[in-house]
Amino acid sequence: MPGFTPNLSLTYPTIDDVIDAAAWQTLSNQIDAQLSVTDLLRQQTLHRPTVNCTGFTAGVAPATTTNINFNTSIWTIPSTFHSTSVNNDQFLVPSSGLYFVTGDVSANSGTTETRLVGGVSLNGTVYFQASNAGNTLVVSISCNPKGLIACNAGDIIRVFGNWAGTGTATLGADVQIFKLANL
Amino acid sequence: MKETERFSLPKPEGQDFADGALQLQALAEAVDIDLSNLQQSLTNSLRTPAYIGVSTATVTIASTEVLQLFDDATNIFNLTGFTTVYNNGFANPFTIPEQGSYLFGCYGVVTCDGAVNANTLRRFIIAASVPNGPQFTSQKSYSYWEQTLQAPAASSYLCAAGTFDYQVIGDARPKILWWGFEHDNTSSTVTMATGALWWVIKISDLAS
Repeated sequence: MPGFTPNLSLTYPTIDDVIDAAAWQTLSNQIDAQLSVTDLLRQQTLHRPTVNCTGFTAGVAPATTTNINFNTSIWTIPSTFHSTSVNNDQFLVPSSGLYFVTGDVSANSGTTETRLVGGVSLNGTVYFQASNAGNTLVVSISCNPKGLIACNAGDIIRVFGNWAGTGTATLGADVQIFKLANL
Repeated sequence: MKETERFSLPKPEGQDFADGALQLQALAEAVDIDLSNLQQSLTNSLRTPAYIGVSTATVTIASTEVLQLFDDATNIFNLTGFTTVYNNGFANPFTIPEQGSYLFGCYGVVTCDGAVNANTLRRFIIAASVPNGPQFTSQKSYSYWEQTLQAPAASSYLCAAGTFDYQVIGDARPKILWWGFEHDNTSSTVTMATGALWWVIKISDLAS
């Protein structure tokens, strides 16, 4: 009867077993499989999902909550996390985990800009927001929403803005998202 | 038997008695220990201590007060290790499970209950006070502020985040994580809405 190691159940022959090629092959194959498991863990550790994008949505009227389109990728890992051309207001969470989201949201080119709320939503529900109050003189205002989100694979993260003032504005943002841990 | 150079795996020498079963068993057990330890350390790095709490009741604050979040604590997520939510001053410190570098922060929505003093301050303060070093000779303090001015007749939305290092395991002195809010709207109280968030997560081991 073969023996088994305590943690990974690697198979080895005991004194009553025949030491043949098959015994060596079994152990080699099992070590190979466990090395693959280890390598996958290494890749998950060193290649955690992360994205850094910039974008804007132009012609936004005051008091209108608007998701921002991200049309430039600084980096996107894995590539399925975000597309700059299809549904580019969405970040598709690639694997379940805790993600840190931080970004700068700005409103620019309004006639006057008195207030801005920028935020992050998960599957359409507001998760956190930041606000900033300007005055009648400014034509650019920004805020910095940031926080930790518990996500499941396939969840959708969006960044949005809502500004107060006169005229129409361009809502811009840069956003960074990092997976910090598995759930 | 000799051993390999890096992981000390057993290998027979020419003069060893040809006990193939015993030699294979020794090799399998050595690989078992090395690989399982490596897998465990990688798994741990992907499953670090983390905590997200959410308030379950509104809290009203006068301009003369500093709100210490969050007495109405309900943790919505507690990955590992954080056993006590900080509240009631310094009497009940938040337990940090292991040494490392941590990221922490909070989020809340505040609204005036009556008259609004235009362009007055709303501010989160988050802070950590932790023992520093194995000699127990001092404590490190970390503080971060996030503030905004509130326009008339509107709510303010605040997010704050910062980092701290915790270097000592097992020190009985308080390890304080502190999430606070204050404002200077003197004409009325300010209410923080249900659903305020506060969170902390380990992001790295300390450099050895």
